[in-house]
Amino acid sequence: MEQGTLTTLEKVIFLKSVDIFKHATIEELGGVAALTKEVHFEPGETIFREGDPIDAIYLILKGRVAVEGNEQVVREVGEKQAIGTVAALDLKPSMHTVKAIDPVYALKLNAQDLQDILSQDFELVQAVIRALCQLVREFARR
Amino acid sequence: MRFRALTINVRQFLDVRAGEAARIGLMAGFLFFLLAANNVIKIVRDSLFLSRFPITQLPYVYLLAALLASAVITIYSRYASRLSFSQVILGSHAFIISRLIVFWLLVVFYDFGWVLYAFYMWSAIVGLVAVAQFWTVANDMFNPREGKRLFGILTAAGTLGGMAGGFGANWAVSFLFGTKQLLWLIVGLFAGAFGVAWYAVRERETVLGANQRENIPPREVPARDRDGVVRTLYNSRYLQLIAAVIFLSVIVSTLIDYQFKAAAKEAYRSTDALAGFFGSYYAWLSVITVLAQLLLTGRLLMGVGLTPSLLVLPLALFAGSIGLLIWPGLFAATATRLAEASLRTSVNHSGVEILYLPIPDFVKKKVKVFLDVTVERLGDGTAAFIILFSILVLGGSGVSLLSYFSIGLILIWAAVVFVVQGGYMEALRRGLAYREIALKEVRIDYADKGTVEAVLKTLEDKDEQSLLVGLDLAEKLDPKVVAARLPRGLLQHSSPAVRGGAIKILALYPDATTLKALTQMLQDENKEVQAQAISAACAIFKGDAITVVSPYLESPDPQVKRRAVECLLHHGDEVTRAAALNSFRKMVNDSTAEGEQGRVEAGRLMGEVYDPEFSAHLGRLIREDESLPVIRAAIAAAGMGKYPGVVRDIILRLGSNTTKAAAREALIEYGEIAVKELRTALFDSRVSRDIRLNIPRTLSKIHSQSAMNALLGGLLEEDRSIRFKVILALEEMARRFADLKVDREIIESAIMSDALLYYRRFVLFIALFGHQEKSLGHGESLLYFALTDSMDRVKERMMWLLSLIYPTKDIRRFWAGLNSGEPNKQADAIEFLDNLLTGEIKEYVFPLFTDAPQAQRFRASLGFFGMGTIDTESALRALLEQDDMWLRAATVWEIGIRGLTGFRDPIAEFLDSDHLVLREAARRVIHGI
Repeated sequence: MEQGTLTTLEKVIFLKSVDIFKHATIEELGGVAALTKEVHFEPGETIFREGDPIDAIYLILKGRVAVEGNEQVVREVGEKQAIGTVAALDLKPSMHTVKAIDPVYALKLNAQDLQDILSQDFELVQAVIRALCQLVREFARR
Repeated sequence: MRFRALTINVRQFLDVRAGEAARIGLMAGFLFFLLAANNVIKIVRDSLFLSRFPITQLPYVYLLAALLASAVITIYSRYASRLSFSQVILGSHAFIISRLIVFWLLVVFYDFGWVLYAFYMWSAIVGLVAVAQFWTVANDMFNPREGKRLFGILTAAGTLGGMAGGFGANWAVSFLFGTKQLLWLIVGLFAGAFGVAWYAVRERETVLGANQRENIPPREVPARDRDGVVRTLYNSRYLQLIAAVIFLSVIVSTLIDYQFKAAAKEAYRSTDALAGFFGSYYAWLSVITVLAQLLLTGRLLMGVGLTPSLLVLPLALFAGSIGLLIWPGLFAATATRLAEASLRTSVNHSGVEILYLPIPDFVKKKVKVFLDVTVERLGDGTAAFIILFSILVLGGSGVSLLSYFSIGLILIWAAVVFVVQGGYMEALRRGLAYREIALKEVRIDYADKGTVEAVLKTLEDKDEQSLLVGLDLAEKLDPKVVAARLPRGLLQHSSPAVRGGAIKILALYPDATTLKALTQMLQDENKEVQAQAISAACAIFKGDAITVVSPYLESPDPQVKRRAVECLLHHGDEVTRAAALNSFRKMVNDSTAEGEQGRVEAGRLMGEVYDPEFSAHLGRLIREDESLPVIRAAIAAAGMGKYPGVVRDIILRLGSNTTKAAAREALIEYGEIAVKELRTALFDSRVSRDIRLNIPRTLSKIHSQSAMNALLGGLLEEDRSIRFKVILALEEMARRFADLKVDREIIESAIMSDALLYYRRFVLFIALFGHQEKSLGHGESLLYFALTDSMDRVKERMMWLLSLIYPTKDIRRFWAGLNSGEPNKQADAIEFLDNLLTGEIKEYVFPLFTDAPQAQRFRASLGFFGMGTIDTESALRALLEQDDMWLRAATVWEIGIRGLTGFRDPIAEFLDSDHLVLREAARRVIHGI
């Protein structure tokens, strides 16, 4: 995948497949897509470091990343998954270090931009809350 | 292959859906055997009894049967509650079979007259118990929606059984053996019912397990649920109403049955002729019942609803009774009896069964047999008394006179039907409520004595934050109470904020300690405390404070200066007021960065003190000042002082994240004054969308009819996001301000407009995607999701709009049930909505939520636009013409995915579109094609 090649609609299609945005309409996702930019990480490159303030959500288009805590891999995150979501929403430092395992292509969504668009679009807020509630319910069921 | 196709066609015709065939098949077979046996029992019973005894003996049998029913029900209830459900059903059938054999022995070998009495009474009770048990199983196996759709099939199967029983008995008597040997046919039919019941009760357990319905074993039932049947009935008005419907209908039915049998005995003297007549009657009855069942039941219940369906039988009998009075004789009696028997076992029976659906399982199990057996027998008994009264007191056979009683009872029956409908809705509401957690708004009562004590307790704390919170709360309490008990030590607290807060409260009810502390605080090194002290001195001494306060006009601290200006403007003479205003002007006109705090304080001052001159200052600060704190302070001040000239300036601040909260609060403070400007801005397309999006919520918090009307006007807004905000705002407003009038016509028109939008989308969706279930990935259908999202949003808007014209709680319960993800709760919710909505709104809204098959909904949706069908190409062309840019872009993308070269020209037109997304999509697709 080449960088900077996705059209807005392709970004929307991708965003629709990411958990946190799955309840948003394509119009709302169009607004989000316009705020994203494509980024690339080499294998082993650090995306977040534990305790660092989070300035963006990364939505993985291709590749895998390792989420580490206490210098151990806690879990792997792959395509169509997002990293940094919670920290970007509550503006707290990262709980984990995140490193690229493969060459990683992702959409970067600036945390402040997300906050701004949420503050302007009530229906998008509802969609995100609904997705978060669903995640909480799934987590509670486990 | 042909058989499979036939099976599918039959299932589609009967509206049997996937997973229902086995259940409906078993239950249909069960009822077929039961009603076949029931009819044969009646033929044997009537032929033997009427050929041996005079018609006047019949009322005594009715009475004895009623008495026997009480004994039977007591025994049945005692044993039924100790046994499992399957034991009760299967045990009852085994018991019936064994008793039939005993009766055969008695009838054939002994031929005692009392045996015929006993058989008549026994058969009347047995048939009812078995059928009541059947419907208990059926109610467990089908939810309300399935019941409405499928109970017609069940009763049709039962009627076919009755027909087979009638014809079979007639044929057997004519060609095989005598009437008494028919008892073996009944044994065979009950044996068949037993066999099917064996599988049916197992299927029921599977269904109950899957639905997680309550099926509490007797030992686990709470004490309050073990109340007797009578107490349960006593405590439930709804059950009493069902009982009344059954009771009245049975009395009328028995009166008509008596009139029919008397006419038959009169017309046919010999036993053979009588048996032949009954054979024909039962056969034709079954045919008419089947027709009524197939052609009327479903259509009436689904088409006109429960109440009209329950009224069909009483209306028919009303006409029949009039007919019997005008043309007494066998024809009128048979016609009325045929109408009674066919409608009672088809339309009326299905309707009454639906009345049982919202009743909890454990209650239903307890009362249904009682209502179906004891109440019916009581009805028979009451009818018997009426007949005896007619014969013994009024004289003659009393046959025609009975019609007068019937007419009177039918009128009462119809009235009860109207009342029971309300009970049904309430029971459904309760059923839905059990599954919902109600969130109650919490309100803090500041006048509460406990709250005062708790607040004063926090003021004994040493922690500064706790004290500040306590002081904030104390300010909201009754100052007279709080000031007297406020700890004086707070005036010496190390925190200036605490000292300032304390003096503020104490100044409202000063004492010697306060005055001493005040003198010290006017010299306090902390400017905040000094400012509070000025305000306190002003509040206590009023005009006498001018001398003390005036020097502070020269204070370098803006806070102190503002308090001094404020005091002098309130209590000063002309000279001191002019000096104060000069001081104020210096503050408000200092546009330097250093003057920022001065402008903030000037802003606050303008909120505290009203002066016409301030309006111009406020407008300038709100429009032009570069400092956010200044703008916010000016907005707040404008709201406090309700300066009319700056409303428009405040509205224009609604579009910014940094100022919208302050602007909204200020506009709410303005109240009615701001509505006109807010309304103008809401409908003005030249005003920024960000601003307009924030207007509905602001209007919703203003308690005035004009604000409500402004929002109602917003329902016609083309921008869907703004309209959605308007809908949410209206819902909130209607909930908060119940005294305001919601224009029902406007809401209904908005609902219908949205419903049509939904049907348009749905038609296009089905034309393009049919029954596909999509999951997204690169290159997959964005249009699929664009359309489903759009339809979901319409439904959501609809829910909010409905809550404006129907009880909000009901609509929320419906919505919660519909979105529960559990088929049973969803069916309950749809059933609830079916009964809640009325008139034209129901025609438009209900099909959106109905559980009818997709193909049926597609046809109905096409019907709204007078269309017969639509193909894929037409659907795509229609979508390309939509105003919604995103929908058009998704359609272009879809055309690309499908590789439809015929669309090259219309897509090429988008290459120069003003919209980037549409341009990008067209470019990609043209390139791909």
